[in-house]
Order: sequence, then C-alpha cells, then structure tokens
Amino acid sequence: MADTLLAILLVTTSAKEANLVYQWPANPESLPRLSRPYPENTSDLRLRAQINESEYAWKRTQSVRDRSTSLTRSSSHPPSGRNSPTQDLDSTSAKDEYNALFGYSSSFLAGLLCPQRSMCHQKCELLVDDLAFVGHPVCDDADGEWHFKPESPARGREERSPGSDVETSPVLQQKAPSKSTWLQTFNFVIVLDLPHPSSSTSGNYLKYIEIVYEQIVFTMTAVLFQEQVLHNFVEEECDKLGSLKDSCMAKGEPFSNFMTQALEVSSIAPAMKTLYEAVKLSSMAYVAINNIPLELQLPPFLDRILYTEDDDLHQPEDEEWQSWGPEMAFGWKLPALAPWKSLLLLDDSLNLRTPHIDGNDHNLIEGLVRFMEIASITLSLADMGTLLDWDLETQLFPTVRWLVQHRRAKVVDIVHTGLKTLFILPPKLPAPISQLSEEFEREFAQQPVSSLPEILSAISTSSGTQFFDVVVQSKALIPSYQSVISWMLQRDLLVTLHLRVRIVATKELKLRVKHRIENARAKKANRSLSKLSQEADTDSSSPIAPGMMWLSLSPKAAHAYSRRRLSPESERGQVEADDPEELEEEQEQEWDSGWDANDDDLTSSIIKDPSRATPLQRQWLSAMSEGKDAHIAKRFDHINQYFDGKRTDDEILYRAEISRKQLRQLLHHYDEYLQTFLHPS
Amino acid sequence: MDSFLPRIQSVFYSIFDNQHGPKIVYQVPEALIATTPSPSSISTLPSLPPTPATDVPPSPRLSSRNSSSSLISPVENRASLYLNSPNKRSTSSNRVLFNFDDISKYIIPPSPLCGRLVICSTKHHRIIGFPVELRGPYERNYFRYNLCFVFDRGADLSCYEPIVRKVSRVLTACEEESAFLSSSETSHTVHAILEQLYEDLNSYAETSIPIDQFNSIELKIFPFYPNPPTVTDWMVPVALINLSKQIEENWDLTMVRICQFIDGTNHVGRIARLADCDISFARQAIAHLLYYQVIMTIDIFQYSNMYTLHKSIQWLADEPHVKEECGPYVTKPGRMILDWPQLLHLYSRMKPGITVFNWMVAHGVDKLGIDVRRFTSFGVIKGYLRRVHRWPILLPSTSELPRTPARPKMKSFSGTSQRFPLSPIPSETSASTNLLRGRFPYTAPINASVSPDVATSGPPTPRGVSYRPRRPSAAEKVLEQLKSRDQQQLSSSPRTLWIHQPSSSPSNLHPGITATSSTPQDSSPSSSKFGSIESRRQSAVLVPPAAPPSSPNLPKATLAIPGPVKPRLSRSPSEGQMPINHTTEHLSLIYPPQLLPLLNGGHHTDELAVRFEAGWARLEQWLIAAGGGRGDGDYGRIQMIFR
Repeated sequence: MADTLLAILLVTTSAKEANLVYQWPANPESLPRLSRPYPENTSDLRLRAQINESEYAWKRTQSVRDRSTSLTRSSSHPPSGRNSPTQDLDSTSAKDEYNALFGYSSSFLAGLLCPQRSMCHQKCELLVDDLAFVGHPVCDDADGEWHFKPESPARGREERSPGSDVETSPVLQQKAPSKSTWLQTFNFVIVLDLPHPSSSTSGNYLKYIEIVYEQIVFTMTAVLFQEQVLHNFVEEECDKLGSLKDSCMAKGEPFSNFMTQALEVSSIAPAMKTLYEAVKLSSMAYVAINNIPLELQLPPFLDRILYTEDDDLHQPEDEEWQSWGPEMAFGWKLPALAPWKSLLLLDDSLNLRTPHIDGNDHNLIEGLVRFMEIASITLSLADMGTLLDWDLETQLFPTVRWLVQHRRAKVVDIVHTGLKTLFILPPKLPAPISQLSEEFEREFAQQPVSSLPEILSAISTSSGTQFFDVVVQSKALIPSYQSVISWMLQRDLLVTLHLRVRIVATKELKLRVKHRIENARAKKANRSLSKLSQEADTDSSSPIAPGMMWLSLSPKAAHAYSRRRLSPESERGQVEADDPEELEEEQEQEWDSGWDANDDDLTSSIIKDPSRATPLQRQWLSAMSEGKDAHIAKRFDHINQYFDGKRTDDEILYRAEISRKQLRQLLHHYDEYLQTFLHPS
Repeated sequence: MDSFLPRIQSVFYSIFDNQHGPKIVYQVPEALIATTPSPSSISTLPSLPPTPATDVPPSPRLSSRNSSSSLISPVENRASLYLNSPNKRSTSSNRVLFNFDDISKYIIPPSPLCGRLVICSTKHHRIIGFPVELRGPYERNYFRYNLCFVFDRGADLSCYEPIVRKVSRVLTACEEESAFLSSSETSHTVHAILEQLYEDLNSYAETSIPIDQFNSIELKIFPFYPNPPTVTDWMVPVALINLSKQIEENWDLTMVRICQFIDGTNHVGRIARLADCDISFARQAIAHLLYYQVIMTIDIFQYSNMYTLHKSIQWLADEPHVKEECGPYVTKPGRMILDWPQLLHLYSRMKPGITVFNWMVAHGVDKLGIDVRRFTSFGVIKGYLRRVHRWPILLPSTSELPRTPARPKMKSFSGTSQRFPLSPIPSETSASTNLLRGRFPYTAPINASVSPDVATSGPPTPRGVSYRPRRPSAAEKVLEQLKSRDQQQLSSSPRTLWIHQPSSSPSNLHPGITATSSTPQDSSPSSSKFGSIESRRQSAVLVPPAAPPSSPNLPKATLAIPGPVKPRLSRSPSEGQMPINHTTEHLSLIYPPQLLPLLNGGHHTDELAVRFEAGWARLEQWLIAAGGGRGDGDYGRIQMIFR
C-alpha cells in the first residue's frame, strides 16, 4: 500500500540559505512510467522481444547538471569500480548524492519548499510534473522568535496527538527555552508520486493528498512546531544533523553512512524512517518526537480511491456510522458501530505495556485486560457492556474505536454460539485461494477441519443454510470451527447475511380498509345529516350542512374545515365536543389526510417507512393484525416500525428486545404481508 | 454543457523582468491578483500598472464572483490594503484572489523548474502554469515567462494540463521565431490572447486564436474521464445511449462494426466474432465506449446463472426510478405488468446456489409474463443485483479422493442417467475421439452445440449474415421461434441455450423446440441458406439435453455433443434432430488439457466458457470429468466456489 509515497523530507531556511536537513529514504525512486504506451498486441513474442523497454520509459528531466546523468541509482552502494574508473568521478557522484534528489539539487528543492512568510502556517501543496510535495511550512515571527499563533489552526487535529495536550502557553512564559538563533522556517514535506489523474475518478487524487496532509503532515508539523516553540527542538536537531552531514561530506563517506549515523544522533531522523516504513506497510507508525509519543497512520483503504473501483469509501450518514468519529470517516470501510455488533480481536496478545502507556492509566489497563478477555465474536457489544458494567457510549465504544483504529480489532457481525449463522463469500477475495489455503493449512494443520477450498465451497454452494449445517455438522467440532470463522473473518473471507423485512400492503388489504373507511364515512354522513336536521332550528349560524360540506371537499380541505368547525363548538363547551362519535370523526379525518396520491391506487405497495406511517398506512398496518392472536398482534404493532428493509435482524432483536424465535414466529404469522431479504450489510 | 469543467478564475501572463524580477504583465480580469508587493519586498518589486490600452470591460460573470467575496482570506485582505494604485477600480479591492508575490517563486522559478508543469496553491486557489526559460540573445541571456490559469482550490485540473502545455508550446514557438513575447512591438497582443482564452475557454471550452502568419492557438478542453476497467471477453456491453444514431462516416471502421452487435446480450468475444474483427480490437473498441461512458457492462445471461441481492437494495427498492421502470422493462409485451412488491419478492428469492432456472421453476416465473433476461439485467444495471460466479478450484489429489473407475455410460435421455464416466480420458478412446482431440483448439464446429459463440458459428458460417436480421428481434422473435418448435426435445434445458436465446422461458422450452422451423428472415432467398443453417445450429444446441444437475425435475442426461461437423456440412434441411451417439457422448468428457491449470479458484466459469468456447452445460461435464465427480453438484476433486 501507499505506493505513492516517495519520500519524507525536512527542509529549513535560515537567513542565509535553504537546506534539506534530512530525507528518508536515501534514494527515493518513483514508480516507472511510460512516455508512450507499449504496442497493444504484445502477445506476439517476436514483437515483444523487439521492444526496448527503455524506449518507452519516461524519464524525469534532470536539472542537476550534465554530470548528474552519470549519477546512477546504485551509486549509494559502494561503487562497483567498473563504471566509475576514476576516483575523481566517485567523489563527484558521492557529492551529488548529498546534493541531489529527484533530479534537483537539494538546496534548490529546499528553497522551493520553504515559501514566503505569508504562505507559512497553511497547507503547502506543490505539484511539479509527476511529483506532489505536501507540507505545512511554519516560520518564526518577525522578531526572530518562535511563538504559538494566537489563533491555532481550526482543524483541531493536534488534539489527537497526545503530546499537544500539554498546556503550552504557561510553560512558555515561565521557562525561557534556549533561543532560536538561525531557524526561520521549517517544513515537513511528504513527497508523493502523483497518481495519473485518469487512474481514478476526477479529483480523487486531490482528496488523497488532502488526507495524507491531514493525517500525517499536519499532525507531525504540529508537534514539531510545538517542540520548536517550547524547546527550540527543531533547530537543535537540525544543528546535529547538519554538522553530521558536513563531517561526513568532509570525510568523503558515502551518503548511506550519513543516513545511518543520523538515525543515532537525532530523534527526527528515526521518526521519519519509521513513518515512511509504516506507511509503506500500511500499519501504524509509533514515533517519538522529543520523547513525545505520536501515532500516525493513513486510512487502510485510502489507496483504493486512486483506482477505478466502484466501492464506496465514504461511510454512510447513518447514526451508527457517525459514532466512528470524523477521523475514521473516510477510507476505513467500517461496519456500523452499534450495540448489536460484535468485536473480533485481531491480535490476542495486545501488548499493554507499550512505552506509550504510562503508569497513570493503570485502571484503564485493568479494565482493558478484562475487556480483551471477554471479547468474542459470539458476544454482542451490548452484552459486553453489561458484563463489564461499562457504559456503551462513553466507555465501550471509545475502547472499540481505539482498538479498531489501532488495527487490533474489527467490528463484525455477531456469530451464533452454535455457529448457526448464515454466511456468503465476498465477491472479491483478498488473496489468491492457493495462498490463503497455505496459510490456512499452516494455521489449522492440527485441527480436524476441512480444507479451506472445501469450506469456501460448502459455504457458498448451499444457499441459506447455516454454517453449522453445511460445514461443522458435529457439536464436537464447534470450538475448532469457531477459530476457523475468526480466522476467516480476520481476512474478510466471510460476509454475514442479514435478514431484512419489508411490509407489503396488499391489494386486498387496501380494498378492505378502503371499504371500511367508506362505510364509516357514509354512516357518519348519514348521522350528521340527521343530527343537522335536529339542530337546524337551534343553530342558525351554519346555513350549510357541515357534513355535506366536508364530503364534497378534498380530504385536506375537509380536515381544515372540520377543525374550524369544531373549534367554536369546543369553545362553547357543548356536549358535542365530548361526544365519542365526534372524536371518532376527527380521527377519521386524520386518516383521510394521509390519503395522498401515492397511496391512492389500490395496487399492492410497500410501506416504505413504517415508523413514519401515514394515518392510512397505520390503518393498513392494524388491518393486517385482524384475526391474529392478541399478543402476536401486539408484538407486530410494536416492532413493525423496524420493517423498513434497512434494519437487520440483529438490530431488530436488539431494539425490540425480543428473541429470534419470537421474530420468526411473527414473520410466520404475517407472512402474507411481509417480504424478507437476505443480503449482506 | 461544460459545467463539470473547472472555471477559470483568472489568466495571467508573467515574465522575469530584468529590473524588477518576476512580475505579472497582463492579467484577465484586471487586478484580481494583487501585484503590489508586500512590505517585505517593496523595494524590489514595485507594482506595474496595467496598460491602459488593454483595459477590459468587466465581464458580466464578474458579478457572480463578487458574491463570493466572503471567502476572502486574511492574506487577501492584507493584500487589498495596498491596492491603492489609481488605475485599479476601487471595487477590485474586495475580490483580490491572492498576492502574486506569495507565489512568484513558483510562477517564474529558477531554471530547474522551467519546462515542467507546475501547480501551486494559495489558500483558496490553485494556479497551473508551465514556466519556460528560453536561452538566446537577451539581456540576461535568457527570457523567462509563464502563462498561468487560476482556479478554485478544489478544482481538478487534469483537463487543463494539456491546454497549459500547448499554450506554452505555441508561445515558445512564436518567441523563437519572431521574438513575439520579448519584442515590445508585439508583446501587447498577449493581453488580447489572455482575454480570448479567458472568455472562450470559460464559455465554449474551446478557442482558436490566430497569433501570426504561422502560429495559432487551437484549444479544446476535453473532459477528463477515468480509465475504463479492463475489458474481458466475457463482458456483455449494454448501450446507455442509442449508439447507432451516433455513428458517423468517419468513425473507426472496427468501432462501427462493433457497435452493431452491442445489444445487451452479446459478450465481447462473440461481438468480435460477429463483427469479424480481431478480439483485441474489439476489446479496445469496447474500452473506448466504456471510457466515454456510453455503455456499461453486465454479465452473460444464462439460465444457469446465479444472482444475489446487493446491499443497495435497501435504498434502491424505494427509489421511484427503480420501482416505476422495473415493471414495464421486464414484462413481455402484451402481458400484465406485475406490481413492484411482487417483482421485489422475486428478486429477493435470487440467491447464490439457486440458478435462474431453479428460481423460475420455484416461483412459476414463466407464467408471470416476465422476460427473465431483462429481469436480471435490470437488477444488475441498477446495481441491486449481483451475479454470483462459479469459481472452480481443483484440489491437489490426495489418497482420500481416489479416482472412481469409469462407469458404464448412459446412452439415453432417460432421467436415470445421472452418472457420467469419470475418467477424463475414457479407456475406450476411439479413433474418432483422438481425431477430434487433435482438433481441440476448440474450433467452433466442435463446440457449436453449446458454445456461447455458437451463433457466430466459426468458420463454416459466414459471419454475422444470418444473425444480423435476428439481432434486433431480441427476445420476442426468439420466443416465437422457440414456441413454434416441436415437442420432441422436451428434455432440453434452458441452460443449453446459452446466451443467444436469452429470453426464452422454460414454458417455451418444455414444449420443445423444432429445429426445422424457420425464422422469419429465412424467407428471404438470399439469407435462406444461412437461415437453415442457423436453425440447424439451434437444433444442435438444443438437442443435448444436459439439464442442470441441480434441477431434479429435469431428466439428467449425458451431454451429447452432436457430430459437430456433420450437420453443418450436410445442409439437408431435414436435419432437425441429431442422433446421440457414443462418440459424441465421450467428446464432452475430454476436457481440454489447458483447462486444468486454470482451475485454481481464480477463473470463473464465464471466463472458462468463453475461453474454451463451451457453454456451461458442457463445461460442467468437463469439470465433472476433470474432478472425477458424480455430477449433480459433485465435482469430485473440484470444489466449486460461488462468489
């Protein structure tokens, strides 16, 4: 992953000059590019043999003088002696090593990356041909001293790095740190190989750069800046590195010697190395800047946006996804963080004694140890919270979030203890099956389980059958297969199928309800007519029969009319207001108001969102329960709000606090009106 | 039209001035970029008032930009303080984009950066330019200039990269030829060029600016699309627009031919054959169409396919464009359109492991008047249905899985013949088999029976001729053909139809299919020859009653491949039904040796089918033979993975 990362640079300026202080790696190489495409039909071997690959390769124009063309990549290693016959040339190329980067002289590059003061303290993005330089230059104040800016950058990224929690400004005033003498600007720069824009959807690479900036450049710069302000740290480090470089150059040592020695004398240098390696490995970088621990990483699926793939890396807007927080909102491909989910630990041996956890967190660690002990894919997060007596929102979720962010755990769907869960396979496997099989063999050689292809085949070919029935088949094997499932879930080889339910208002049902409403109306109309004739002599203020009137109006208008009509009556405090029939009429008109164009046709339709059912839809829903057992009907009434085709069975069970059996019973009773869907989330 | 192209906020031309260093000579619109130096550099860079002669009337679009002045950054505000130059409109102060001095080192950079495309950014803007350094008899021996475009910070500039390069190329040529830029006589015309670039590119996305007798700037901005996915032979392109209306005379010939066969049922391999063009050209043509997003690709429709719901059904089921379009699209003409809940229910019953055929049987789909091909492709196109492929994987042979000895082969169609000889190479390999094996680069005649490419029919059938009239008829005509066929081939399974009869429903299949009935176009004398061939071909296809093993209601039979060459060569019209003989029965069991290495779980059966030109029914037999399985879902050493 992170093929695009080419190098990490630290550049500085003093009043005199710009300087490339340190870089990692020593000889960054960009991805090979073609200046023109290979001939299309390369299957012809003769033709293939004729292709001189170098003719097609694109080369970055070298701006370091002509001599630099003799600067070969291998020159960082001891010269072979063949290509560089004279000692003279060797020393030149060695010098070039110190001075050249990406075909530019390093001092030129440093000058380029340290912009004007007015451009400091903001994102700096410079794209030159195929290279993208992303940094956040910071500078001292006009008086030559380093201060915190009065208004800190609004992004608030620093908060995540533990170091920046330190109360800074009082320290600054109390203790006069060693003063900066020469450092004016520094810039921590990430160099990316600019992805070809047509490799992905328009503008995706901008997003990519933005995320690299937010996750790495900004955080790193924030800590460096703080340390510079407080302790003149960056300047001191630069002094160390600069003098080391000078002495190495003076001694004529190869550049690689300088690179390795630098790792020992400074703390920025190893941090840059660690960061580079971690990003390349797509893991988390644990670095220490002036003893301030920092954890940096890029979202695991970030690189996907650089390739045309249709999978969406944005989290849905749902509440359950929101709980992951903004920093994990993109490129993580996370499932919802919800109480009915479960946790799969990726690394059983969480090293709780990492140097980054200090003694004060002892209680936390103990809680965490218990947490790790009980975490299991067969236990929902809600149950975990109960067992630990932890609050879901304030204690459990943050822990889960931390574990997931540190790639020590995954949120997965809960697996039945008896492995009676429905799985299918993902459309794409993370690796070739042969490779997965080998790993599987190694892992489960001692266990009485089938081979991986057999398991995959069994799962996938039996539609809608539980894992236990198709694979395990014997209770004794459940523990073995539990670890198999964990292993497969870790590698994304299994996708849990979820049941979702939708409610269909059938044509018959609609007709039934419609007839009933019409009957009720007709009755009502009759009654109000007769009532009117009775009232006619007493109430002369209403010349038109009210009942007639609302019948002729559209439902909405009628409703409004009836309201108007009712209000003076209630003011008068007449008996009519308390008349139950009157109330009924009121209710009926409410239903009428839901009779919009969509619901009007009498073909069967799906009730899109039962939790927000219109009055008419509510009537349909209640008509569905006719002739059903009272307790079943009550339960249906209670949980039909979840039958919107979006909520999973797990969620329904959790929210409605019913058992799977009860749900099944209900589905059976209301079979006529319910549609079930089985698909992954 | 070009709303998706980023809008140029400003165009400016700057040079390295011998006295003043980098400076903006002209900018359009005026004064958007503050050129007044910031205090630190005031001594070195005095501001240069724009030439009065080139003052432009503010374009009407400027007003809209004014409205966005709330975006002004502190930098801009600061810059505006110095905007007291008398030539500048007072209004300009509140729409300064940025201060030139901030970025001048990237606009007129030292020589290492010249000749490269440079994009730099300010807080709210992105500036793209191509700094040029020309060596020559200049005062400093070089002349540096840069013509830059300014965009909003979030703009994707991919489509402007070639524009910037070209403008710079043309201007460089002009300068080299006639000192166009450096001579004071001509350099003022640059302002007019800027104006035209700004106006034309923003309004029309293209421009043509004559500069001198020999040079002109001809530009057109092409929207930048992402690369299309790799085209494979088993993809089925579906046109999203009416391609035939777009075809022009000067189109690429291959493309014109290819387009004729894009009908939503032909896969790329078959299109190449129908159009009689090289497969790699066909792939390229399809890739081009994909690039321009006028087609999309779906899977090959077969009754042996399996589908499953994608999670997007959650929200797509409520979308009006799905609910309302689905019924009319999937219903056969003249049949009553089912309501959405019914259709949705049918979709929800499609699962991995259940073939379309099984699903049709289970839900009586043939009685509902649904065109099953359209039904599935609608779901796939809308994105809530996903094809589940079969990925065969051959397990290493172990002692636990001894190869079962070959069993006596079944000779009849009778439902009991569920077993197949298991040995990949039958012991009684006959001479004829050998002969045929020798031919086994799977030329069309042999595989015609079940090949997806069968309609293309390889060498013997002139390409396309007989099919072209058939093609537009799509579902309906095929249905008619099928309906009129005789009942004898009752046992034929829809699977064997492969894709060229996509819409035939089981109801039509069960009655059987006559090979002798001719399609309407056969009446034309010119095509009658091919028509008869075609009908024979279809008969050949339909004869082998290879039922899907997982559908117990159909008789299982050995896959019998009709004598492949014979029916084709003898053009007797009476040749309706192929006798099944032993030789052909064996044929199916001799799988191509190249098949085995591909059974590693990385190639699905559509790929294998297209590569070996064998339909699923035949491929299935091969796999059973290769794995030594018993059939009916048992492939022996081969495990089938559905995903």
